[in-house]
Amino acid sequence: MYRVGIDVGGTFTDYVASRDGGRMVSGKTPSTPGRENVAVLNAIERIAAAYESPLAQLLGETEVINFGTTVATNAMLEHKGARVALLGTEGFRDIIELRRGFKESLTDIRLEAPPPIVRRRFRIGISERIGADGSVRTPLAEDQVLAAVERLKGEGIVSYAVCFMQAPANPVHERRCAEIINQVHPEAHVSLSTDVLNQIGEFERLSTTLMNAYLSPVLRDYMARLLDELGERGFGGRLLVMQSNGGTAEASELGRLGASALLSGPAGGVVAAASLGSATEHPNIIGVDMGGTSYDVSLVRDGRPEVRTDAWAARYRIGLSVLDIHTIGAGGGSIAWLDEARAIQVGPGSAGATPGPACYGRGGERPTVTDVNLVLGYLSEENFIGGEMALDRAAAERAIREQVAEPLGIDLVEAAVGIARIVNSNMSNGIRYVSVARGHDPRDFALLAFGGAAATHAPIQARDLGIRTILVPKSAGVLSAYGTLLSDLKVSTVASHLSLIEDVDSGELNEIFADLWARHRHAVESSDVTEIERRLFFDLRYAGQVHEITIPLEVNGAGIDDAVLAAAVEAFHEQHERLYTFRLEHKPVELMTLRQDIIGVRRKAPWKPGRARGGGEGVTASGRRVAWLPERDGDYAETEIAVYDGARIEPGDVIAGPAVVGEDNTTILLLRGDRARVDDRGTYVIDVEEPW
Amino acid sequence: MAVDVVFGEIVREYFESVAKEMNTTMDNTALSPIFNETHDCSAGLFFFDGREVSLIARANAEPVHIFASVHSVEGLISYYRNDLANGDIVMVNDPYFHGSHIPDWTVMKPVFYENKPVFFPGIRAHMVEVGGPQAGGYNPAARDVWQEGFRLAPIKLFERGEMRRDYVELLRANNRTPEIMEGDLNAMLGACRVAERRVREIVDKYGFEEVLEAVHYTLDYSERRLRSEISKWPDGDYHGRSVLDSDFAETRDIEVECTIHVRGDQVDVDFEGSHEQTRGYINSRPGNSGSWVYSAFSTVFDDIPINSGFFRPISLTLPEGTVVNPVAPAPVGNSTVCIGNDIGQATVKALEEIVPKRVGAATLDLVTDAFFGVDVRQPEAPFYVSFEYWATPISSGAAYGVDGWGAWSTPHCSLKMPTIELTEVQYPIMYLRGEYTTDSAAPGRWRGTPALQTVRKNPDGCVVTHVINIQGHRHPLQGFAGGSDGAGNWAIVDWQGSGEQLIDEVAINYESQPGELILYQSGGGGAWGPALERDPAAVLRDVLDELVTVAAAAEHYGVVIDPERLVVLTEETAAMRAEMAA
Repeated sequence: MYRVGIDVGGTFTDYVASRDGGRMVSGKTPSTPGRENVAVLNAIERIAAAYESPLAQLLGETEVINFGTTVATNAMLEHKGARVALLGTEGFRDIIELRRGFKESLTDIRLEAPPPIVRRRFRIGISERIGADGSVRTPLAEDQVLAAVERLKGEGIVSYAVCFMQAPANPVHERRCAEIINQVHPEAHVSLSTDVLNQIGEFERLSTTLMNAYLSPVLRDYMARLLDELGERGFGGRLLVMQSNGGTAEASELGRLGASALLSGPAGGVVAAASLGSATEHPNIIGVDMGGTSYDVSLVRDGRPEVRTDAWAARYRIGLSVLDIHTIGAGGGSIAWLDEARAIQVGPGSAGATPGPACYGRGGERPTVTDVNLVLGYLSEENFIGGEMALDRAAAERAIREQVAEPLGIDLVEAAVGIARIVNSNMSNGIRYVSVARGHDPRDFALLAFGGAAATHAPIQARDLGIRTILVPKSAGVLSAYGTLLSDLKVSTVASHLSLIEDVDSGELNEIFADLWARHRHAVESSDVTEIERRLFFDLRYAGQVHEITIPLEVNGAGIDDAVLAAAVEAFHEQHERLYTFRLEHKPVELMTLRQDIIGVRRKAPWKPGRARGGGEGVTASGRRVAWLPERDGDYAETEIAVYDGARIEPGDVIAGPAVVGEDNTTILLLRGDRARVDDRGTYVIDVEEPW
Repeated sequence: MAVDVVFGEIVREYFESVAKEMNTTMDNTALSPIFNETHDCSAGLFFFDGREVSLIARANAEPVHIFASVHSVEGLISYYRNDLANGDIVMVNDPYFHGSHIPDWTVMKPVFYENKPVFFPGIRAHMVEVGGPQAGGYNPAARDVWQEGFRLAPIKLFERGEMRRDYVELLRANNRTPEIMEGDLNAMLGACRVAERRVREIVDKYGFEEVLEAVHYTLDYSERRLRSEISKWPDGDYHGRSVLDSDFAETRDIEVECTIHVRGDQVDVDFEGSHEQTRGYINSRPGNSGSWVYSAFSTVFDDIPINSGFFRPISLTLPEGTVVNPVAPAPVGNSTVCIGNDIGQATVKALEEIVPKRVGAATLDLVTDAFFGVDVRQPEAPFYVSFEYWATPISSGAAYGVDGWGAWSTPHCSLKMPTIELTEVQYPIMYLRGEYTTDSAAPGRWRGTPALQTVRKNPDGCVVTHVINIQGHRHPLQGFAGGSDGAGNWAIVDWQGSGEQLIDEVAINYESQPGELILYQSGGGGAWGPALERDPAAVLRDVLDELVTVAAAAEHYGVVIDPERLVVLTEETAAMRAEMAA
C-alpha cells in the first residue's frame, strides 16, 4: 500500500510517497494558484510514474493521502470566503469592527480597515442576554431568529456565525438558535461560538467564529471536489489534512472547523522538524523554513511543537491553538533597497518566482538575497535546483551595483556584505522572538534548516545565538510534504472553568475532561492509529491577571488529584519566573481554561534515502572556489572554499568547512570550524564551532 | 563606511524588540485591568551620553506616556547625578518634577557600563489608584497639585539590588488598593529587569563602544530623515487652533493657539497666544505638551523610526503661565488628555496648512468615568476602583482616502478596550449596549468614525460612585480640508429613569442606584474633505449598512436614494448637489 504526502506551496507543490514502508519518491511540481487540484493531481501522476505504476492502480493501492493546503489562507488573504451572516446579541453589532481598539500601526493614519468578513447589514442583533453567572436575563426572541434566517436565506447567505454575550457561561441560546437555522435553512453551515472557541472574551471568540463560518464552506466544497476527482481516478483511501495545531484531521472535519486549516501549509514542516529532531536525539529544535518570500521560524520543545492561542491571521484574531510560527519577510527573493535616508533595507517585498531574482535571468532587475548569495560565492552558477537552472552572475552583480553600491559610494562586495548582514540579522532576531522572548535559551536547541534557502544562512544564525548543532535533512526541499506523513490525528478541545485552584473540585474537572474525551475521541479513530493519547493542560494565572500560561498536567491513571494540582501550580510559578523574572508565591493561582488534546498516534513512514555505499572516507570535493565568509569580528574575508556535490554524499560521510554542499533543492554553507556528518537517515548533523 | 549603516540598523531592530519584550512582560503580569486588559502603559529604552537623555526605542507605546517620559528620565538623572549604583531602581510621578500627572508612574533601572549609567529601560504606567482625596486619581475639584494624589519626588525603590521595604510600605499606606498596586509595581520592575538582561546580551556580544556608535547612528538617522522632509516645506508661519470646552472649574472655551515656524530644515512649534493657566486640573506640564506635538508629527511621517533623533529638528516655545506650561502649584490631573488633545489638535491643524493630504484624526478626546464601590456579589465585598473605557473609545476619524474606522485614533491604538464579558465577571456591571449609532459619523468626502453609544446597568444591590468628566461636547474633534467635525460627547445618568440628567461637563461623586442605567456617547473624529464630494456609492453602502439614513444621505451628502429599492438616483443626486453647492 502507498502513503502519499503533498504540500501545496505558493510556488511549488512538493510530494513524498512511500510503498509498504519501503522506497520513497519525492519531488516538486509547479503549483497552479487558484486551481490547487491540478497540481495535486500532477504530483500524484509523477508519483505513479516514479513507481512505474498506472495511475488508477497506484490510487487504488493508496491507503492515505495527507496534505497541507493553503486554500484557507488564500481565502482569507484574497477575501474569497463564504457569504456569512452573524446572529449576535442585540446592542453589540460592531464588536468585530472595534477590534478592542487594535490597529496594526501606531503612526499610519491612512491604514485601511480590514476587509469585512460580514458586512454590518448582515450582522443581526437578536434580543437575548445571558448574565456573567450563566443565568438567563433576557430570553431568546425565537421569532426574531426565525424572521432573520428566512430573510437572509433569500439574500444569498450560505453560512451563519452565532455568537451571544456570555454564551460560554450558558450556551442554551446559541444551541436553540442553531436548531432554528437547521430547520429553516438546513443546507447552510452554522458555526456556534461555543463550539468553535468555548471561552470568555467576546471579541476573540467572535473573530474566530466568523473566520470559521467564512472558511468552513470553502474547505467543505474544496475537499468534496478533490475527493470526487481522486475517486474518479480510483482512489478509495482516506484524505487527511494538516491543521494549524500541528495535527492532522479527516478532510470532512474541516467542513465543520475550517478555521483550523489556516496554517495547514507550513504545519507539515514543523511536524517533520519535531520528528526529525527526536530521531537525531535533539528533542529541542528551532526550525527555520526559508523559501522564496518568507522565513518561518518555529520552536519544538521536548519533541513537541510550541502552540499559541493569541495569534492574528490576515488581520483577524484567531483564538484556536495554532503552531507558533513566526514569519518574517526574508526569503531568497526578498528585495534589497535603500530608504530615503539611504539605509539598506531587505524585504518584505519579494521578486517571487517571476520575475524572480536578477540572477534568474527572467527579467528581474532588483537585487535579492539570492543574488547576494551568488555574488558572495555561496551558490553555484551551474548547479542551482539540481542543475535545472543556470544563474546569471553578471545580472546579479549589475543589480547590486546599480541599486545599492553606487548610490552609497561603496564597492560591489561591500554592498553585498551589507545586504547579507542585514538579512542575517533579521533572521537572528526572528529566532530570538520565538526563543529568548518566550523564555527559552537558544543554546539549548538545535537549528533545523529547511526549505530552499535556510541552510545557506544557518551557520550565521547559529553563531549569533550560540547554537552548537545545525541539522539539514537531504529532504530539506520537500520537508513539509514529508511532515504530513509524520503527523498524528489531533483534536484540541477546550472548556472554560473559572475558579481559584484552592477552590477546585478535582472530581468535577475529571468529569469535564471525560466529557470532552467522550465527545471528541471518535475524530481521531482510524485504521492506522496504533494508540490514542490524551494530553491535559490548565491555563493558569495569578488572580487579577488576564494573561494565562498554559501548563501541561502530569496525570497518571487516577486522573486529577491534589498532587496533580500542586505540581501544576509549582510549574506555573516556575514558568512565570522564567518568562517575567518574578513569582508571587502568596498570591492565589486561578484556573481559567481546561484544554485536552486527543491524539491518534499513527504508524509512520521512516525516511528511506538511497542505498548507502558505506561512506566515511571517500568523499572528495568536486571543486574549489572563492567566497566571502563572515569572520568572528563581523567583517567578511575572501576565502577559498571546497565545493561538494550533494548527490555523491551518503550516510557516514564527513565534510569540514569552509565548504558548500549543493543538494538538489538547497545549498548548505559550512564556515571554518564547522564539521558535518551525514547520519543514517540522510541528515547532515553539523557541529558548529564556538559561538562568536 | 557602509558597515556603520548596517550595524546601526541591526542594533536599532534589536532595541525595538527589547522594548516589545518589556511590553509583553507588563501586559502579561500586571494585576490591574488598566494594564493587562487595556494596556494603559508604555515601555521605552533610554540612553544617556553624559549630556543629554535620548529615547532610543519604544514599542506599542502610548505617545502621551513615552515621549513625556524622556523628560522624567532627564529629571531622575539630573537629580541622582553621581548617586546611582548598579542594582538601583528609581521612580517618580511628580508633575513638578518632570512628570505629567500623578497617576503616571515612571520606573526605570540604570544599566551601568564603565562605572557610568548609560542605558535606562523605563516603564510609564497609569496607576488606577494613587491615594489623594479622590479614588481613581481624577479629582475635578482640585485647585492645586496637592489635592490630586500622593506626589512622589524621585525615590529609590531598590538600592544596589535590595528593595527599600520602607518605601514600598509608604506607597502601600497611601493607596486604597495596596495589593493591586504592589502587583502592578512588580510587573513594572520585571519589565525593566527583562530589558536589562537583553541590553547586556547585545553589549556582551558586540562590545560597548560599538553599540554606542550604533545608538548614535540610530538617532542621527531619524533626525536626518525628518530634516530632509521638513526642508521640502516652504519657509513660513502656519497656524492652527483648538478649543477645550472647560477646565471643570468654570473657565470655558480655553484656546490653544499653535504656530509652526518653518525655517529651512527646522521647525519651531510656538504656542504664543494660548490661554493663561486656569484653576481647574487641565494645565499641561512641558513634558506632556511636547509629547502631543511629537505625536502629531509622527503621524505625518509615519515611516520614520521614532526616537529622540526625531525630536531634534522640532523646537518648542511654551509660554510660561499658560495652559501649555503652568507654574506650580496649578493642578494638572486631566491634562494628559484635556488640553493635551488640544495641543495635539492645534498642531495637526497647523500642519494641515502645509501638508493637508497627510493629516487626519490623530488625537483623543474624553469621556471619563472613574467609578468605585464594593462588589456585593463576593462574600468579603471588596472595594474596587476602575475606569469605564467603553465610555470613551472612539477618537478615530478620516484621513485622505480612508473613512474613519475602529476605535482609537492611530497613535493611541496601543490602548486596548477591555472585553465586556470579562468586565462583567470582574465588576458588578451589566452592559446593555455598545454599538455605533446611525447618522453620527462626521460627513465628509471620507467620513469620520460613527459615535459609539454604551449603556451600562447596576445589578441589584449595587450602588456605584462615579466621577464623570466630559470634553468635546461643544468643541468636538475637528474635521480636515472641509470635512465636518465629530458628533461630540456626553453622558446621561439615570437614563430613562425619573432622575434622568445630561452630563455635558462634570459630575463629581455621582451615586448611581441599583438597576440604574447610564448612557455614554463617544463621538468620534472628524471627516476629511467636503461631504458633497463623497462617492455616492460609498454613501449608499453606509445606508445599506444602517450607518446613514436615506434622509441624512440627502441632507448631508446631497445623495438621493430611492427608499424602496435602495439605489442611488443619479440625476436627482446631481441636481441636488448642484443646488447645495450653490
